[in-house]
Amino acid sequence: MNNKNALLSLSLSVTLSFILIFIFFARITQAAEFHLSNDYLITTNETSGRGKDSSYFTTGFSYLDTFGFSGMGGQNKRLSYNYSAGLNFTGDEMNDIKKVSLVNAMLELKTVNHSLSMGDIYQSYSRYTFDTALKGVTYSFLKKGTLLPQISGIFGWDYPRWDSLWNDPLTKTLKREGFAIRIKQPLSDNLWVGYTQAKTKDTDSVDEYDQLYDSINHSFDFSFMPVSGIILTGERAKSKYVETVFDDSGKGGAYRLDLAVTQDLSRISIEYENVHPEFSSFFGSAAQDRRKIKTRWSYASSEKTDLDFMLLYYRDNLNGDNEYGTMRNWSPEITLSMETPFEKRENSSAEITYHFDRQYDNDSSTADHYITANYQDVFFSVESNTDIAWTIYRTEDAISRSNELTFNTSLNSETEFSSLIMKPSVNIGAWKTRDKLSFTTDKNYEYAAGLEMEAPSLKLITSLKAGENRMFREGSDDSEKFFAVLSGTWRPGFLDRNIQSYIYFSAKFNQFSYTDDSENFREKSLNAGIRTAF
Amino acid sequence: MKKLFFWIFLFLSFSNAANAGLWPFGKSEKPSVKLTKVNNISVTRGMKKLSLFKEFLDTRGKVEIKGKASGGKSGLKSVKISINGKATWEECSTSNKGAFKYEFSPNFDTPYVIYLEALANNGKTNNVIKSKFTLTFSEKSSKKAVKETLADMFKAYNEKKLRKFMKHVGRNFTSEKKILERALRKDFSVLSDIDMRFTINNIVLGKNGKVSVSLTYNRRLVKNSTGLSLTDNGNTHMVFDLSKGNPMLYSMKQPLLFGLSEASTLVPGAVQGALASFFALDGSNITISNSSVLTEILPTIPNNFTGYIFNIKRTTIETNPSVFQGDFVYLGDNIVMNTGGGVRDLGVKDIDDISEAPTSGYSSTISAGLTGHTLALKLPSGKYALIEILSDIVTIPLNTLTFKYKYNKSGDRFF
Repeated sequence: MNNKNALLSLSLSVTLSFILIFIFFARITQAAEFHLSNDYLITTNETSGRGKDSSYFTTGFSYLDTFGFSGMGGQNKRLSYNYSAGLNFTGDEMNDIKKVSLVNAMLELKTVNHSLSMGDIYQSYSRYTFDTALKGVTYSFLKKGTLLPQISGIFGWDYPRWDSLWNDPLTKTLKREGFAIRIKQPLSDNLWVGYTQAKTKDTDSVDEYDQLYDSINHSFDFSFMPVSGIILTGERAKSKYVETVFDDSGKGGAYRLDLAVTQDLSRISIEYENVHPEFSSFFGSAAQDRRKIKTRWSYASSEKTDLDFMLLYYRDNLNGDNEYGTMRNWSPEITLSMETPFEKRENSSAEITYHFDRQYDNDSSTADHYITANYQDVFFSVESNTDIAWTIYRTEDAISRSNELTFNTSLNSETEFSSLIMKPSVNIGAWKTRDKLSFTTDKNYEYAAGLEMEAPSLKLITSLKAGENRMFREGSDDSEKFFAVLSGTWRPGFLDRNIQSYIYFSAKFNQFSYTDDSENFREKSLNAGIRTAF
Repeated sequence: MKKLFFWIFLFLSFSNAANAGLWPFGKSEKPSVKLTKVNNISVTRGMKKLSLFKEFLDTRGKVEIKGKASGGKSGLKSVKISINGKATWEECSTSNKGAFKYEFSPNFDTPYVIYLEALANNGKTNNVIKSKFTLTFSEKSSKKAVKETLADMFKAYNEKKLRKFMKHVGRNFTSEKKILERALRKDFSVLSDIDMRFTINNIVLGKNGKVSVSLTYNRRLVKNSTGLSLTDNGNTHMVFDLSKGNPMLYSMKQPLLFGLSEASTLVPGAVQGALASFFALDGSNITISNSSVLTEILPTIPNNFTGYIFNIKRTTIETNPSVFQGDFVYLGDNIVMNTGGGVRDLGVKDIDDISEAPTSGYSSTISAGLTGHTLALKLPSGKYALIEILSDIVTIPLNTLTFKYKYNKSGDRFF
């Protein structure tokens, strides 16, 4: 308890210090644009019951303070700049394993044609080579309105946190250094081509299980719009890696072509992708060992009716050496969407979708059917939104066979009462699955009601929601959850200068009950916070 | 590859025929006009409105609208634009190929109702009503929008609302949107009492409208088939695409938060040093990983491995191989019992065929590479459990152990 009091007083001191810093900076930075923000949240949680270890709540008092500042200057001058940084302070490991963390830091300098950023940087050059955030530095050159090449480069480390950079024992990771360069050449208003090269190098392993890779990726990509309404994009990439600890290596290629054709009422798209099993992309994104074709035709048959046909096919085992053979997947889908399906219901809309999933290889075969329907309407002043889904799962050789039905509906309304805006809501959901092999049925029901109230004159918004979720399992334990949440935000006069400043609070209660009452537990949580920004 | 170039060549050849009127999407008799870009954000078919964040304005605080117009057979004379619902009109700068552009300085949170008029040399115009497009710039930062989107996605996942979740997933989601949708359906079918929350660590805005997000999460899930409760926390990364205005999920990394049922298909990479276990669901079993990702070549979580506590049905994240919380831990490729516990191999047997754990013959550790074997576990608490090893995938250090189990909480040896 002493520790907790100490933490609490520390956190209050920190917050007071920030308020003083706020005032100080606000005075000295009147000339340039400068913003400070601080979000201080205090939480107290309580868990009880014999099964309370199942809760992830940290019991007792804890706090989370998020402090940030940002600024910019030089707009409309030769050199402009902007910067930002943020710190987290917390006493709860569920929020952050460190009590104090630098969470972000960034400085950017810009002229009309050049930009240089350092700190937290992110570049998305191409899907297969580089699309990630680093801690480091990046430069870009772009001269608008000319056919000069756009050039960009990035160098940095792939650390998930700043404290990993200075080898904090709690957050230390291996060091992955990355470098990438991109040249994009517009050839006309409708055509550009790009080249990207990305390299990675791993050092400083943390333990004996760490593998250390050196890799290089190259790619060419392009986008071409021959006439209005047609766009062809594509990428061809190659990769090579060497793993130095276990003496492993590999190389592979990947390519994709996407064609989209749009006319007034139709849009047709065709995507083709082929990724070699040994293609690796440490800074990009590619699902290995996949050949994929996806076609889609969207057709607006009238102003109120849309039809959408989709066919997805993909397979693996492109090398032909998988033990279980080739897993092939076929997924056709058809969707019909209608505005005002019933003439007299002018605010109604409906959508129905049929989706089929077929997967098979030498050892397994599944065929699943999904039928989903959605209907939205307004009855008097009540908006309704209803989803119904019916799914048939079939795995051959009698491994599994089940039918599943899901139903969800929500009703929402809004009414003004004196100076109050009231928004009542009701949600009802049900789920039922029947296993046709074990002849068991599981059922789930959920119902909840809520009321949101806004008092604009008081700048107060509150929301209360309570409900119950009941799960009945034939052949296993049943469970029941009761939940209630009261939350709100309030902007008193002294915070009225900035829309992002407000006080917020919430109170939550969850009660979990099981057939085996040794697993029962309750959670109570109170949260209050103040967010200030200027 | 030669075939590929052949097809590209053929396609380009056909595209050039468009100007000769052979292509159905080429020139028509009537004037037409199309908005193509708003400050480098592509405007696609059917898009009638666009809300952008203040970061999308250029350094002068201006927005640039670009498009293509055609005057039909008689040729294009001019393109006019109205940004206030046809109250006033201005002429756009136009190239001789029909490309046009227009710049203005928008106010925040003001809807600009845009109409375009292409005037042909023969005096005809396009259908101006059909060109209506509403553009709004929000004073809200894109970072705040990403936070709101994430909150909405977590809420939808917790409440098992598939449509609500999928509206935040981009068409260009790197691991295929339809596979994620299928995985979510399965997640929602096999899980209940989903309770996940997040704290954002870091949001970095890229140059081309993408945003990288690093977040800390806490989650609790219950498996419907067994009533098994899974709890963990950790760090993960996601990328959102802002090129359509609202943030749309573009990619995810391990540890995976959404679509656990197809974890290996959906997520090609892992966060460095992620301080968490990776959950994967396959059918009715629970899979835990000792340090690992589900791809073959990407490295791993340093200093971490996983264990299991039977009486609370909980996976544990362990850092010290000598002192740990689990009844047992999966370390290297071994099952290591906690102090006072023991494990014994009962051979290749179905767990359902075994009704009694032996009284003796237990050792403190055993190789997990015994797929198909059932093991008897004498737990440190003095209680007994049986586990059947369904798979033990070893790709050092990316091992993954999958098992079925029976646990007798009464303390006797019979099942």
